[in-house]
Order: sequence, then C-alpha cells, then structure tokens
Amino acid sequence: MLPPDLEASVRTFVARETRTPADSIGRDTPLVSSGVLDSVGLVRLATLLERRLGIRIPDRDVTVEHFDTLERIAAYAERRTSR
Amino acid sequence: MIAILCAAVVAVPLYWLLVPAWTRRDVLALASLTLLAAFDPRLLVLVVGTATVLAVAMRRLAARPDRLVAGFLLLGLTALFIWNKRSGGVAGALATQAPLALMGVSYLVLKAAAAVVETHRGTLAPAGFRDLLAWLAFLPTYPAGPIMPLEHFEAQHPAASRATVLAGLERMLVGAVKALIVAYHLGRFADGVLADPAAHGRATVLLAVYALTFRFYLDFSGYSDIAIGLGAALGYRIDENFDAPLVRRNLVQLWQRWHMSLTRWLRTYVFVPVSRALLRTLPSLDDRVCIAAAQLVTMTACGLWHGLTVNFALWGLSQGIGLVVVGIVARDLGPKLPAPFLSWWRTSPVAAGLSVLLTFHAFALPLVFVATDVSGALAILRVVALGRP
Repeated sequence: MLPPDLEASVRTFVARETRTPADSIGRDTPLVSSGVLDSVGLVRLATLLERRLGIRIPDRDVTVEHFDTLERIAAYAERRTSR
Repeated sequence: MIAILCAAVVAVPLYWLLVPAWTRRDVLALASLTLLAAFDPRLLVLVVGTATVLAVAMRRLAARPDRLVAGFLLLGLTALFIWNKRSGGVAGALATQAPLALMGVSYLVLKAAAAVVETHRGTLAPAGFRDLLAWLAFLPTYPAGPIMPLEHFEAQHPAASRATVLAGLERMLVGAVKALIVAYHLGRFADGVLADPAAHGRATVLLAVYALTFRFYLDFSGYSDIAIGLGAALGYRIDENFDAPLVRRNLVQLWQRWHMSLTRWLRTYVFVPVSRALLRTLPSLDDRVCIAAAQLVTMTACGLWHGLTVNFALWGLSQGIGLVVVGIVARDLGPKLPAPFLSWWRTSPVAAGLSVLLTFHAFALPLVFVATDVSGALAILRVVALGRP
C-alpha cells in the first residue's frame, strides 16, 4: 500500500496529466497501456515517486509493468522501499 | 521485391511441408543468410560477426555487468552505423533513396544495442549464437524493420494454420501495392514538383507536399506490411508498426502510432534515460525544461538515425519542437482555457477535424527536410508560405 497522502498525490498527478477527475481513477484503472499516460507522464510519475519516497528508480523499471495502475505502482513502491 | 513475393509464394509451402518443426528456426536462419549473402556477401560477415560478438558479450555482461564493456560495444555499434551512413553517399530515409554501404545496418545496430543494454541492465538473459544469428538475420524484418526485440523472437516457435499463412501472403501483397505502386507514383509526382518549386504555384507545391507525406507513410507502412505478412506466413508474429498515424489529434498521438517499433526503441533507450538523467542532475531546473530538452534530443536522434545530415537533424528537431508545444498546450495552457471551449474542443467533430488537419500539417510540412537539402526545403516552404519563390 502507498501511504494515503502519497496515493492522493499520485491520483492528483495522474488526474492532472490525463485531464480526468481524480475520483474516476480506480486502483486498477490502466494508465499507460490504455494510452492515457504517455511517456512524459510516466517519467514525471517516476520522478514524483523518487522524490516523495526518497528512492532511486532505475530506468529499466520505468515501464508499463510497474506503473500501469495505482495497484502496481503501490506494489512496486512497496518492493523498492522495503529493500 | 516482386521476385521476393514470387519466391515467398513458392518457398512458404515448401517450408511448412518439408522442414521438420524442430529445425524450422535454423533452416530459416540459413535461408536468410544465403539470401543476404547473395545480395551482398559482406552482409554475411556482418551478421555472423555481430552475432558472434553479441553471444560472447551477453554472456560476459550477464555474469558481471560492466559499464566499460557495454559502453565499448555501444560505441562500436555507433561507429558501424556512422560508417554505413557516411560511406554510402547521399543518404535518404526511404529504401529507394538510400544507397547505403550495407543494407539493414541501421536496424541491426538498434537491435544489437538493445540486447547489450538489456543484458547489462539484467533484464535479458544471454542468448546462444544460433538464436542470435536467427534473430539478427530474420529475413522478414532484416532490411526495413519492424524492430523485433530478442525476447519476442526467442519466445516464438514457428506455427501457423493455412488461414494465417494465406492471410500473411495477402498482407504482403497489400504492402507491395502500397510501397511499390502507390508510394512510387506519389513519389514521382512529388519529386517532380519539389525539385523545382519556383516553377509551380502554391497549390501544386502544397499538393506535392501532401503526396510526399502519403508516399512516406505508404512506403514505410507498406514495407512493414510485407514484413508482418512474410513473418505470419513463416509462423512468426510481428507487432504492428503503424496505426493510422496521419489522422491523429496531436503530434504526440501521431508519433505514438508511426513506426511504433522505432519510437518504442527511442523512448526506451533515449528519451527515458536522457530525461531522467537531466531531472536528477539538474534538480534546480524546472522539470518541464528537462523533459522538453529530452524530447528535442530524442527527436533529433530520430532524425539523425534516418540520415546523418543537417536536413535530417532539422527535421527531427522540428518534430521535437512540435512535441514540446503539444506538452505546453496540453499541460500548461489547456487547463487555463474557458471550460466551454475545452468541452467543445474535446467533443466536437469540427474540433477533431481541425486538430487532425493541424497535426497533419505539423508533420507534413517539415517532411520536406527529409526529401531534399536545407536550401531546397526552405525554397519549398517559401512557396507554400508566400506563394512565390
């Protein structure tokens, strides 16, 4: 799980990037594979997580596999922060 | 090309009837290498040499990631790419325009570079020499893409039904008609007008620019159709490379659907590393500036990949500027516009038509830098803008 304030930040970020209401973004809404979040959005999202969590995300991890949904983002963030 | 199509019609049934399933990949590799060697014996040396070096390097990098080794390999591949582009004389983006020293090197270099980087990152297991040889020489995609990642190729085992084989051959025919007939005739018209724009009126020159744009689209997508069709006929699935890019509402959408295997490569190996390196090393700079700089670098690299001359760099840069402008409008200006206008822009068919038209021109007009040198391109744009030379 992402900390609630970070999940809210991510949701707000995605809503702003995709110009959709934040409450319409579910935890399993596809963001990248559906095309709503482009590569610029993906890089900005990775940067947001790096800065907020104080972690370093390698370039190889900036992919749809890790960042496609809020659920996957949370799972990835948990793996990185637990190391 | 007609000969290749005819050969495919004869060879494909033999491939399925006579070649045992467990040897199909090797037989295809052997056939690919034989054809490449018949076309130019140096291609045999190039492909076998690259496969050998990659096989050794991937094992080494998988055992111990070493930046120096990976960097050295990437440098070598870049040198091969530059030598090939420079030694061929005047470079062009289309197969018919490009008297390169060796056919297919631009794609071979991208494939090999991706394998090196992914092995170094630890995301790709080292492949054996035979697999690498079959992948690098894979005839459907060798000359003009699409760029098939090694892991996609390795995961496939040639299998097809009669229906997919026939659909593949049909797709090849469609591609041949697009690339060899329609694109060719559009190109003849466009070349004739654009070679001397001062001799024609604005409408004719603009029409020639449109013809040039569709020629590029039909040529590239036609060759992709041939590759995808031949791949299907041989039992391989090759990802789509174009998805109606010329009817998109902005340049970002267009570039997400134009030569998708190349843009995926550029996104993964240029845009993401460059943007993130800038964001990390220049934290005091606005993130948007870092992202914009990475977009300009990526698209200029795209231009230079097509041709190592100033006109290609300018073409790539123009598309990078277009992507930056789309980002500024969408992320910064858009939200400040009145809500009724935004709603109209998002939902109205008129707005959709206008944005498609605008995007098409933002893509089509700079293409003249791909068709000719800088002074020639500026002469064409002068006639389009002013109606006179």
